[in-house]
Amino acid sequence: MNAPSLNEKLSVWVLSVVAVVLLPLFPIYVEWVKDLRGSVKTESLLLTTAVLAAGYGFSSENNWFRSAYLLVFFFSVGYDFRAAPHPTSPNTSYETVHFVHKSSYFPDNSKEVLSDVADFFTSIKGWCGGHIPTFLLIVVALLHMMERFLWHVVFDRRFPDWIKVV
Amino acid sequence: MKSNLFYLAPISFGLIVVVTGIIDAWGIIRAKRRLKKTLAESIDSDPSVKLLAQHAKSGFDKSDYDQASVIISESLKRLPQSDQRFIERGLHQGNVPGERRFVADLFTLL
Repeated sequence: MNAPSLNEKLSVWVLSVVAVVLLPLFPIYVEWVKDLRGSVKTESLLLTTAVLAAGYGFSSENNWFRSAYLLVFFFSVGYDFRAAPHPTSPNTSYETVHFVHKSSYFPDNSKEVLSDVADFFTSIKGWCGGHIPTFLLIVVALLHMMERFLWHVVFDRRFPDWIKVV
Repeated sequence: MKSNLFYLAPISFGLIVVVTGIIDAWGIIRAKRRLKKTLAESIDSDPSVKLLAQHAKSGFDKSDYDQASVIISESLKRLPQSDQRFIERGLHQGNVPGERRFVADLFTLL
C-alpha cells in the first residue's frame, strides 16, 4: 500500500464531501430552481437538516460531534412544531423592541450612539432569527466536512472504503 | 421567553465543535510532522528506517507494517505525551486501511 500524497488526501476529502454532503442537498437545489421567487420552503430545509443530522450522527466516531448532530436534529424537528403567534397578541417580536430609546440612564448624546448600536444588533438578531433553518443546515454540513477532514486528510482513510486504488 | 434566538444554541454549539475539530486536526498534523522529523533524524543511523522509507515510496508489504510499528513505538518515546496521544489515535483509529496508510505516510521521508 502506497503512502498517500497531500494532493491525494485532499482529493479524497473533496470527493467525500461532494458525495456525502452536497449530493443529498439535491432536492433543495431542485426546489430552489423550480420556485419562481428562488426560495426554498422552511419545512424542506428542516427536514433535510434532520435527516442529514441523524445519518451523520450514526456514522460519527466522536462524542462531541455526535452531541452536536443530536442537538441539531432535535432543534430542527422542534423548530417545525413551533406555535404560531396568536393573531390578537401585541407585536412584541425582538425585531421591534428598542429598549435603549426608553432608557434614561444615559446622557442625551450617547443615547443616539447607543440606539444605533442597538439597532445594529437588533437587525443582526432579526436576520439570524429569519435564517435559523439555513444556519442549522450549514452547521450540519460544516460539522460533517470537519469530521471527514479528520478521517481522510489527517487519518489517511480511503473513500469509498471498498475502492482499493484511491 | 420564546424566541428564535433559542435556536442559536445548537448552532453555536455546532460551531464550537467545528473549531475544536480544527484544533484537533492541527495538533495531529503537527504531531505527525514531529514524528517524521524524529524518524528522518535516525535514517542514517538505522538502516531499517531507510529501508522502510524506500518501501513507503514503492508500497508497503504486510511484513513492513510490523517492523514500522516497532520503530514508531520506539520513536514515540522521544516525543511529548500530547503528541504520543495524537499519534496513537491515528495508529488505532479502528479502520485497517486507514491505519496502514497512516503508518506508510509516517515513513515518506525520502
